[in-house]
Amino acid sequence: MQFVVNNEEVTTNAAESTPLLYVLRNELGLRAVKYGCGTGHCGACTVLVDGRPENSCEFLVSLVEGCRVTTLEGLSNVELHPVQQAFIEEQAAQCGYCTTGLIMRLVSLLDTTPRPLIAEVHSALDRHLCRCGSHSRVLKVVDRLFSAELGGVTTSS
Amino acid sequence: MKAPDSLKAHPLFRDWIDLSQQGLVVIHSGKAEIGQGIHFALSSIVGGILEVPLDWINVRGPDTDEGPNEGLTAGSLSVQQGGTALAYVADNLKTCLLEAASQHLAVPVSELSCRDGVIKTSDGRKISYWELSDEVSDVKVGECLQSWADLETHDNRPERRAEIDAIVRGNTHFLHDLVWPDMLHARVVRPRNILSHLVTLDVDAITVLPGVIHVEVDGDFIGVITEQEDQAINAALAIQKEAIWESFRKTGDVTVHPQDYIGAPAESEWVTAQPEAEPLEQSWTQSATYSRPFIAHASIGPSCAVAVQGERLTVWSHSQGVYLLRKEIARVLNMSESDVRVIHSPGAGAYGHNGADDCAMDAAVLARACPGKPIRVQWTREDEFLHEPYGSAMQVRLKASLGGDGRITHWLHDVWSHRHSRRPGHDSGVGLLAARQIDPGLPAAEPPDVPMPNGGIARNAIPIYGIDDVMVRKHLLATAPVRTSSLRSLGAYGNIFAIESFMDELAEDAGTDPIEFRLRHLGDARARMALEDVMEISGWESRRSDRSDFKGDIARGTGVALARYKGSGCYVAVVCEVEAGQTIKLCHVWASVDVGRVISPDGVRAQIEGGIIQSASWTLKERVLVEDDGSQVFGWEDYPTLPFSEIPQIDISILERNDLPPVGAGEGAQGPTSAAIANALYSALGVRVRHLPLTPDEVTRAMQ
Ligand code: FES
Ligand code: FES
Repeated sequence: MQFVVNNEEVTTNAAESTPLLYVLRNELGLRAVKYGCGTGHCGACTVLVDGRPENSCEFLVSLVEGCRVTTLEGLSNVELHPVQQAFIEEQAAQCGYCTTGLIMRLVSLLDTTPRPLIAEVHSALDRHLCRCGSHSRVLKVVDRLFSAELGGVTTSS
Repeated sequence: MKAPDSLKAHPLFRDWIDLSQQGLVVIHSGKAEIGQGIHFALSSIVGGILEVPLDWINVRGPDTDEGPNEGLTAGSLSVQQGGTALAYVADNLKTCLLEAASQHLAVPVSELSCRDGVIKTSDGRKISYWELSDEVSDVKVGECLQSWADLETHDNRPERRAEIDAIVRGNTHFLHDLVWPDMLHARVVRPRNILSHLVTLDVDAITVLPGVIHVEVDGDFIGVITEQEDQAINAALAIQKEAIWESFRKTGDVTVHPQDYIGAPAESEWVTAQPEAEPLEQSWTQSATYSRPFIAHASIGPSCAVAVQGERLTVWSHSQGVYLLRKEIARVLNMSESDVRVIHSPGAGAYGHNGADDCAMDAAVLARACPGKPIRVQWTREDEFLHEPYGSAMQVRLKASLGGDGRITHWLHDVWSHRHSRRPGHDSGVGLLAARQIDPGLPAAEPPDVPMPNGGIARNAIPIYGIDDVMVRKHLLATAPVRTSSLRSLGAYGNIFAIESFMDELAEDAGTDPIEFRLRHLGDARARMALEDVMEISGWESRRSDRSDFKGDIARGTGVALARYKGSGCYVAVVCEVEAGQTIKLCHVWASVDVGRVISPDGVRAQIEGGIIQSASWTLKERVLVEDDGSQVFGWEDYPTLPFSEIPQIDISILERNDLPPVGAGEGAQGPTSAAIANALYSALGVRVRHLPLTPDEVTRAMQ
């Protein structure tokens, strides 16, 4: 199978039923993407496939044939992506295991829905679990990112 | 300030701070970075004292071959113990460096200045820390240290944790992401109830699967090692289908629901002095019973470990206690401890004793079976949910007598629970799963309950209030339906939930505002300050009096709670506001916090925010459903937690007491948050819910 990861053409011989997660992590060495549950419940494994956020733990590699996949490693060259920057500014992580997935989710939200409603923010973030309680800081990241665009979305309802 | 005990075993500067690399200050800490930002806090202390920028500082975590043994990373003690030790070392090191510089430069210490690791004379001659490194590294840490109140540190802000930078940039940070040459992948397969025995497994059917290198079957332990990770996953699935386990039969009577604990067989012990005679039943004017369920640590990243058997056995683990883990591994595998090295490497937040140590034991067993190659064991989500040691369920019964003057005169606290700590390495037996499964199965450890003053079952069971006659008794239940161990704050969560709910009930019986009622019984000035502060920042009075904002079927209510963690740690006073109707929504939380000296304001804030959110999730959602045959939780679908869309607004006020020693903040908010939510729910609905979690179903049950 051939597809593009972070702007580079890649080929894999992995079995078709292999979840994309393992190809990214083990074959391509892109280990920012995390295994959390393998069942689509936690969002730790989120990557972008043709710009859409997908749980790579359930996304079979056979389905990415010809697609463009973006992982955290592909977000920035020299400069950090604004979402990454905002996570640092807000110190929006404790252990950070959930962070990659959240960053990818917000990158896609920023791309597709720059003026989201609170309900849209919530339905995006509710696909992610965090056990450390860094939620309120992630919500500050959202405020920071989207207020720049909108002059003030507030997530505190 | 008294020198911490860890300095006795590790008396030299180089045990703690290494200046051998130009421009770098390497700290060796026995405290592990587990997402709580401890390495940032330790850097702040050392950087502040030595006056070097934080990005020149590198912190190495626990390693049984290197650096100080500082025991467990637990109990909110890392700043208190590890921080104090390093403050002590750094302060003495600076004196020592200045003295050495004074000899080299031939001027008295009083005429030297110091900045960014360079010591200067007034006429511009200078020498750096690193040039003096050889002279000081083997020197014994001296005896002097000012008190925390006098300790001068320079400002380290802005506060940015190096780990967050690494994670956000996608740099390797977690053990889960480390790769070794020749590394092999492994999975373990366990029966749903760990006490079930293996009847048969057709090993040949597994060995022929793609990539399988070895199938280890030892007693009831099954592990499979493969070349690739997806092969390990497939092989484990095949084993799950093939293996035949004896169906689990419950032995003896095990009480599985915490609301039935009173009266179950237990070992009882007075925590306060044994009273000459128990007061007569009729002398109590109030009584109520509360409970909390088993709670899962449920780390977002299931446990992982890597082990390799070379000349020695080396294990990388995200355990919170590498020395205890080493001890148990050595005992189980019949090795000497010196032949085992355990190195800490970060995992996902654990919040206590999760599957980390079990997974490390699994890796050790498999590494012995396949020497020379690093074996990486990754637990699945289901492994973690079914087999982690849960936080213990508890039942608490409180009785009090309220005098005519509205003061409590007598107080009796009885608490029933299981062990709140079952770390590996206990002399009475083994605690880790593989240790019990392999042949010959070693007896399970039965460690005693954590003794007071910290306490396990009875942590925070002694009320903070000035009551004439306080009696506290704990009951360690004889049997447990599931394995339990430390979950952030241990028994404090259940005890504070009960005490602070009961205080609200008593306040109402006394016809007094809950804060006023607490203040009436509070002599501790810092506790009073925290309570008064939270009253102010939350606008308590107007919120309590303004009951007009009913929106349709939704009622709004406000509640308060207070505790000093372990009776010796941080003070946290919490006010919560909830809206309750068909659903229960926690809208706003205010917290006033006193941790003594504040090492890292943002670190304290993050720990308190995290504690509040985690407690809100426990309190409103979480319960490990246990039946006779064990846990019923396989995945997130069986274990709802608080989602992003239900996160309350949080306002935190830090009461800086820089004249007092620092204490940890990580476990201070959990107890008070739970009771403040229950009290707010009562103020909204007039329904007292005494059994956690506070779900709409529990509210309905409490109404009946
Ligand atoms: S690991 Fe993919 S959703 Fe949890
Ligand atoms: S920061 Fe640890 S799980 Fe989210």
